[in-house]
Amino acid sequence: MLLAFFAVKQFKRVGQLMLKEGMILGGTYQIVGKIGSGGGGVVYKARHLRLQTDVVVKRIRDEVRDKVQSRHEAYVLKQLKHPYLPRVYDFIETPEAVYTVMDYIPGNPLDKALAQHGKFPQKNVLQWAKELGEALAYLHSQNPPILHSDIKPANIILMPDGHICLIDFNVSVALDSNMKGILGISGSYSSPEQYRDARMIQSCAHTAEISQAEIATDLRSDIYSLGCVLYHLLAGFPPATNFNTRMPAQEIPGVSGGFAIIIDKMIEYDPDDRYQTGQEYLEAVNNCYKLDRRYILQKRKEKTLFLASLLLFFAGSMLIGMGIREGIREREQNYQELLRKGEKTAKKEEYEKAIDAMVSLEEEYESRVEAYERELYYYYQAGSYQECADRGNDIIDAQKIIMKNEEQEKLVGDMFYLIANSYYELEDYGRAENAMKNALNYNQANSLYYRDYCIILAKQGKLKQAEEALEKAVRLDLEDDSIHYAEGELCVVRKQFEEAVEHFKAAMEITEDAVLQKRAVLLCAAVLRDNNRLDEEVALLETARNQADTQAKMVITEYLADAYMRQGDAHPEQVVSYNQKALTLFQELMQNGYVTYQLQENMAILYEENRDFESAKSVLLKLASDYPGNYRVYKRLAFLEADRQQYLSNSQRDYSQMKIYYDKCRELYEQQEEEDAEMLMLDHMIRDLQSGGWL
Amino acid sequence: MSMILLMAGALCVLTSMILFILYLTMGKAAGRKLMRKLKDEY
Repeated sequence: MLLAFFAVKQFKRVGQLMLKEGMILGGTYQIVGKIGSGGGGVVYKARHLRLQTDVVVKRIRDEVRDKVQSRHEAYVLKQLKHPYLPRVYDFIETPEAVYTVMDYIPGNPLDKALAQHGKFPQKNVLQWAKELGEALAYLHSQNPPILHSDIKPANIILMPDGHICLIDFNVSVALDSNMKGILGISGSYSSPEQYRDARMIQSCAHTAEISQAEIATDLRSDIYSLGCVLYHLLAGFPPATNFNTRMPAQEIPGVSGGFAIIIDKMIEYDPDDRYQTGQEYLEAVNNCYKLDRRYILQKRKEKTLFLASLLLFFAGSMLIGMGIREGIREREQNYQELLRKGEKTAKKEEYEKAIDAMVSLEEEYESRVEAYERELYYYYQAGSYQECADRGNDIIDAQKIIMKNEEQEKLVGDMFYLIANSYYELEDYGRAENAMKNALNYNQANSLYYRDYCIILAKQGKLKQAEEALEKAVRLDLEDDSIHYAEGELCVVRKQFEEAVEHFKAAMEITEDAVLQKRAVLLCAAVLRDNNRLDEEVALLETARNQADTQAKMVITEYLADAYMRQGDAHPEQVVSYNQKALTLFQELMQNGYVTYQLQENMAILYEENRDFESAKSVLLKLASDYPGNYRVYKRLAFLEADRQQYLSNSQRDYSQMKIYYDKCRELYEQQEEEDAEMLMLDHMIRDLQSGGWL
Repeated sequence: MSMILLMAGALCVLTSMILFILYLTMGKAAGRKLMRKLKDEY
């Protein structure tokens, strides 16, 4: 380490060879006069003869004179250049000694200024503290670092321009890298470790006995000395050498907190507690306001506000996120709850209520598929097949449904499936086939789709395609009851009626599906009817009627009533008995709200056959009010009136009412394109009555 | 529940915005002013 010590006073006196005024040193520097003297030797002011500038000449200690020409340190010293340090220009070697030539710095040393002013205001001291910090940081940043070691007011020149300069560059010390025997102390400004090192050196007879490792003085001693100088400049007196009684810089009046903290840290007893280098000190003194209590409080307030706002923002975002999530969950829960309510209502067979509930749900959650699917299902369950198909098509056309997952896609498939089954029930097999194809587009893994697709195809006579569909259904693990049911349908198409009946009966026996049960019963009954096995048909329907649920029971009852009517036709001797049975069933259906056109027309026919003309007329008039545009009602009324007149005597007969019904019937009949043989009969009857003079 | 959470969240965000405005005015702006004052003082 290159150590540059300034003015080591009370130690090792150098030779006292004096230079006389007017002497020319090294052929360049003419001695002007003595400036001062001290432990470091005598200092002369000289004149550079060529440049005509003032310089300072100082003698180097004899111990290091040999090193001037050889050492790297001498070169480094000549390279030093800083606005707040004097420049070392040259080393002059004479037979007696070696001299160093440096800048001459005009101005007053700070010790004299202190003696004159006592102390200085913080503003000036802070400026000097920064300038000294820059000088010190420059010295400490050299390679190797340069230690001043004797910073004191006397070695700081206050220049006329208001800036300061750190002087008394004791080059002898700088050139002595082991620095043994050169350490000295300067009153209140030397650090405790400098005192210790000085005492140690003094106590040794030969400096060679001391190793460099034993010397504790280092860069931090400069920090201490500068701290003491700043303290003195502010307080008007140096810090007490007794650390226990020393007044902290923070108690010096007129000194701001931040600056006082820096000074107190610089003059800590333990070097480890001080700034470790000039650079570190410079950084601190340039930002000393950051150590001020007001600044720290302000920063704390800023930080608290920022952190609080950040924390609240994140907390708020989280709460909003949770709220949205909870909202979605609640909405989903509400949706599922309303679906369950609809399901419960439907189980009580209150389908209208269930459908209304689903419609309300759809209004609120218009993109959700579940309510639409349930609505169609309830229409289907209620036997409102036309409504089911129409509503299903409307829903699909509206394109409101958003499918978010595979389950919802399957539900759309189910909707098409219900539409297809509704068309099937309406015997519109072409539309049923199209709807089923759509269902299969959405879900190809449902064996029931293929089963019903098979049956729809079979109904249209597309036997080969139907068989393929059934094969696919079987591959998808179609249940045995469904297989029997579909096979039965295929057998009907193949005209294998006996096998068809067997399959339907097998399906009825093993199935637990009410819809399948109903279908199998009705199909089986239809096969038996078409093969004139009336007694078997009646027996099958009577058994099935007792086992069916309410909805299936209605349809089966209607079929049974129809079978009784045919039994009456087949056994004229028992016609009244069978008609009565059929009538009882129709009345039961009417009481249960199962009211269809065909049922009422059949009732009217039965009343007529039993010669209960008033009841027949009453039923038909109700039909006429329910179906005002249907010519068949008036046709039936006209026939009824004609029949009724036959049981009256000629004098009592009056066909005017029949004519009224006939005219109305004709009017409605002409509005449509259907050919009806009974209309021809009615026309003949009217013509005969007119030709016979009855009308 | 969701409404309570949403309202609490909105309140928190609103408060955080107010605090952030305070941070910018009483914090940052006042801090800069103080720093200028301290730099002059030092």
